[in-house]
Amino acid sequence: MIKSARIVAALVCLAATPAWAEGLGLDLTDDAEDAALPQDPPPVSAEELAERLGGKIPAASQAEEVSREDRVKAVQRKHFLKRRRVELVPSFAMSLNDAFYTKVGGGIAANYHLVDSFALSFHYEKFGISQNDSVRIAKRELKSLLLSSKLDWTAGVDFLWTPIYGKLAWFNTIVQYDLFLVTGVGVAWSQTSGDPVNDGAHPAVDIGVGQRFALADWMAFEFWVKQLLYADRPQDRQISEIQKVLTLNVGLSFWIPPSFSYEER
Amino acid sequence: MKTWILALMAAAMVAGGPARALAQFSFDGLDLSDEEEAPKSPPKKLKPPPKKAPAKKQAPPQRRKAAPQADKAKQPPPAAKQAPAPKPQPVLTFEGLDVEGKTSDRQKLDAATRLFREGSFETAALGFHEILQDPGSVEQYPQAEYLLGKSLYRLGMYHSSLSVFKRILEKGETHPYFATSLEWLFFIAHKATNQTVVLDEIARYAGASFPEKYRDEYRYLLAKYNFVRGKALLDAGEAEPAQKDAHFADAGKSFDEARRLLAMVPPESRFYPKARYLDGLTLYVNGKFTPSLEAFKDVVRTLNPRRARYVDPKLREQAFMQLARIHFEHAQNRHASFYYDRIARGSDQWLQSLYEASWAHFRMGEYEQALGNMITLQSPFFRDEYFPESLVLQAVIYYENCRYPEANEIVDDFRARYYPLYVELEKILARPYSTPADYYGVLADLQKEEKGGETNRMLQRILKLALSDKELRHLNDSILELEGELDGMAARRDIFRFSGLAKALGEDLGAQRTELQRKAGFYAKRKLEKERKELASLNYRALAIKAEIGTREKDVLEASLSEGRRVSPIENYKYSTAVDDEHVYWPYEGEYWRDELGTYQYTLTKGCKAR
Amino acid sequence: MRVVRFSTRSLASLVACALVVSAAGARADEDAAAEATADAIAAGKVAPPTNLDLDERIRPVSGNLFLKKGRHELSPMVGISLGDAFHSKYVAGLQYGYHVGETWMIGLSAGYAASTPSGAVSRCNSSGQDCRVPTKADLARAPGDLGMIGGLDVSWAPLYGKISVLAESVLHFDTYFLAGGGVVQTRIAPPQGFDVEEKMTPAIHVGVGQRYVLSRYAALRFELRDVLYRLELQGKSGIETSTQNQLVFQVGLSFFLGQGGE
Repeated sequence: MIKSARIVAALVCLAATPAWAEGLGLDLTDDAEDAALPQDPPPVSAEELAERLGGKIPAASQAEEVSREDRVKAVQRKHFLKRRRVELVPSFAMSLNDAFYTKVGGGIAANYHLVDSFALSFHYEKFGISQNDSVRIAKRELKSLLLSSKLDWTAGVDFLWTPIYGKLAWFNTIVQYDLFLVTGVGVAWSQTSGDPVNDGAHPAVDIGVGQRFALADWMAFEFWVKQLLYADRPQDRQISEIQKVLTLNVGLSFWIPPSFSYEER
Repeated sequence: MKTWILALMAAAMVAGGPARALAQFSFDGLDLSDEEEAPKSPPKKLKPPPKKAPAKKQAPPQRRKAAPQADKAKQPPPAAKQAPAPKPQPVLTFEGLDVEGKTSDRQKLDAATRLFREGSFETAALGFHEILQDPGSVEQYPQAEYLLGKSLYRLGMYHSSLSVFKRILEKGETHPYFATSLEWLFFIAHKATNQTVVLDEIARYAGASFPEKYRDEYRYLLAKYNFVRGKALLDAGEAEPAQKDAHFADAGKSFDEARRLLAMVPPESRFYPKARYLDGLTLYVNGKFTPSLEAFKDVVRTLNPRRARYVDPKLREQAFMQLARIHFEHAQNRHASFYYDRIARGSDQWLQSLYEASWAHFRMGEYEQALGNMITLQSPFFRDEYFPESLVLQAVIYYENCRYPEANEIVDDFRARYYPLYVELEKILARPYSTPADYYGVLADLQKEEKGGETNRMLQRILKLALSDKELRHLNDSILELEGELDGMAARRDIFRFSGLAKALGEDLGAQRTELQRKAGFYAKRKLEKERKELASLNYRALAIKAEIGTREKDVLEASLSEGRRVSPIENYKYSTAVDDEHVYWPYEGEYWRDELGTYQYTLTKGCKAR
Repeated sequence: MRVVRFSTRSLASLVACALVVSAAGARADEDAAAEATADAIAAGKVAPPTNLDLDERIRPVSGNLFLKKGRHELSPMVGISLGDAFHSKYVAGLQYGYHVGETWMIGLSAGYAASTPSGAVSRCNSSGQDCRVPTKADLARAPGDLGMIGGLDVSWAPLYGKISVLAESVLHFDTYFLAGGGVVQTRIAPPQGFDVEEKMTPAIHVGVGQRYVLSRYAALRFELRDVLYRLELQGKSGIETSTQNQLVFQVGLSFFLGQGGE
């Protein structure tokens, strides 16, 4: 039974917002291919609109002066949630601070993100040594011994903290990224660890900073710079020295589970 | 001897005749498929009524067809701007056919059918038309008429094709092609820009037995027809109080019939989501809000992109909007806000959802979100969008928080922007119009005006708003499509252009166009009047807010005078910049980032509301 | 009962006509069936939802707080060399750039590098004893001792972004890539020689940098620049010309002059 008064009331209520009252906001069409309405080309930026208005942006009024203490903010959902997900990161690494023997290698890390900004990481890297031409010059000109620690592999446990987020505009895309700090302890295995010196694994600490760019819900691109510190006595030296290996690491991370859902509104 | 020779010949004819006949009707090499949809010309501009010269010619929708053998030699001439000098009626000729044992009208039909098979639809159509004009070919009329309809369909002349199939259907089920003509109605409905042109025909033959595969679509369309009828009866009841009861009773029957038909659409049908949506609307109009909610929720569930067989994001968003509006109407603002949030950023409902959600946030006292939505709506990118009431809402929020200078300024801004628009609209509607179609022409004129300044920008927004009326827009689309067909005929070969068929089709299309323009004029008038009324109401409300502000400011002044010191109702608000773990916070500093549109929140740092 | 006899011919015609009509009906249904199939295929296609085309209509960033087009940039810079085998350098210099657009800049750079032995290598005697840090004289024939570095380069800044440092504090930055050419003053003794010779050698510059906006007129600038030049050195089997890679990390303060675009 039609309750005309209720319908009238409904219509009046909806008429409070004029666009709603247009046909009760009802789409009576069966057309999934509505043609676009003729439109003025819209301004593509605030600057262009200002140009259209004669180069002037409306001056601040008294109320705007008063309103300046008000805050406007954009509160947007993170593009990529990390909490309670595991991240597997195969990476390529290269040392930056060794002019004679460049350490080149790769590794794998498994990171578990307890919350969005904090993760625990288990990592392993393996290195090879690449000798550059400066070695030959140093030996020829200086008769130098070039004592250096030949790092073989390193492993450890790190803590990752992601305090900073950002975004950048790249052509017509906006890419969101975050910046993380990493620090932890582990071991380093060098040529003195095994035969003939048999020093064993060297305790190591590392500290670094990196960035992560999410490419998809299940994949991200990361790079980080990490300083590995460990004590070693290259060749026959009696006294250990702190070895500093600064590496640039580049990796592609794969996330498990591959998707995430938002819990907050 | 003669007997057995005759028998041999007869046997040869029996064996060879049907074989030849079959061979004649072989569709090898004939392109009957429709893999590529005819691109629909987007409606660029409104067309003025017939008394004015058309501003633009629209190319007819082009259909890909098999390379016609016969038409290769001659290219269609360019459309002439003036009526060419009359030429003698061209004569159709056909290649030599095996006409043994056939009457001449049958021969003509066979010849035209062969042309149809070969893809020479123009010539075939002419052939069929000639047969229909020949009183001696009465026996061939049914088939010729049917094939004429198909030829016009293949030429992309859907409205003309519809006229032919209408004539077949009017002859009733005794017509041998009645059933298959019903099927072609659906094909035309899917090709035409505006499906409602076919709706009336489908409704007229409601009692007929529709092909099984179209049953669901037919039920849905018929239900839609009944729904529209019911709505129109309700409007008529409101307009004519003396007939109100009768109209309302008829409306009820229409709605009941609509619901009955919709209930027959099974869940596995691709029309099920649309049927449920329409059911939701019908229930709503009948005041059954809870079942209406369930119907819309059903649409949302059915069209869930993760598991739906059929995907229709637009319909799903419309369902979200209806759910939000029903909840809002019943003061369930949090539920309303929840559904508004489901609208995808950048979709065609997005701005509208932002605006409507502002009201929900306002009711819940969430001024941050309400004002934040306004920032998006009033950003430079959407200045041409029409949301005058958003300024009124902004003023109300500031007023509620005792921020009187800001509220005053917004009211002044509103009046500066929209009062001149109201005046212009009054002027337009005050003009003397002789026919309803003239209202349709008004909107076309608005587009042509090249006055600069803020007023013209406003009028362009009004035009855009008017065209947002779906009924008007679809009528406009149909008119443009009709114009396209008429222009397309002028671009065809002379043999077609100057034929009796073209003349007859032209007259028919002209009559259809006139009728559509009349309807469009009615909707245009209704829409413009409605917008004027809305603006008048908003202007009044703006003045009321200003009056209230004046009263409050007077009270504050009086309080200051009586206490001998400045009294201010405003205090500092406490606020926080903390956000939860799933969100990021970006202070707005005047720089617009595209992905931040729609996520703004405005924090009032001062006010008088207790928090 | 009257028997109606039909001639064979008329019978044949009748049969033929009947077959033709039924064939036509069958073929007409086939036509409709084919159309129905095509129609069903078309109906199965999902029309893309209409939308505002935000990504097409609106640039990623509008109303930029920091605009560069048409402005001059002056940047005093200090830097250190990286990855030096023999000579560590501290570089001080000045860069000037003119921003022809928001993303493109033409720049001039000039700097002076003060070299010291790097300490990464030690000098030992022929039996590997008495190792000590080498002196500049010891490193006369070692590459890496530079003086003036100058160049003309073009930079392209396609990336503009912001970082949320603290809740209400946001840093805007852009990232640029540069390429160009110039000269570098090398100080090295020739192979087999002992006296250090100074030469101006052509060089290629490539690099990457970032500017962090401090205000409309100033920005903090970080740059990693690779200067590539050729040197004649004593190779494994005779004199060779080798390409030297000099990485320099610089920090500077950029001052922006002029109003530029609105």
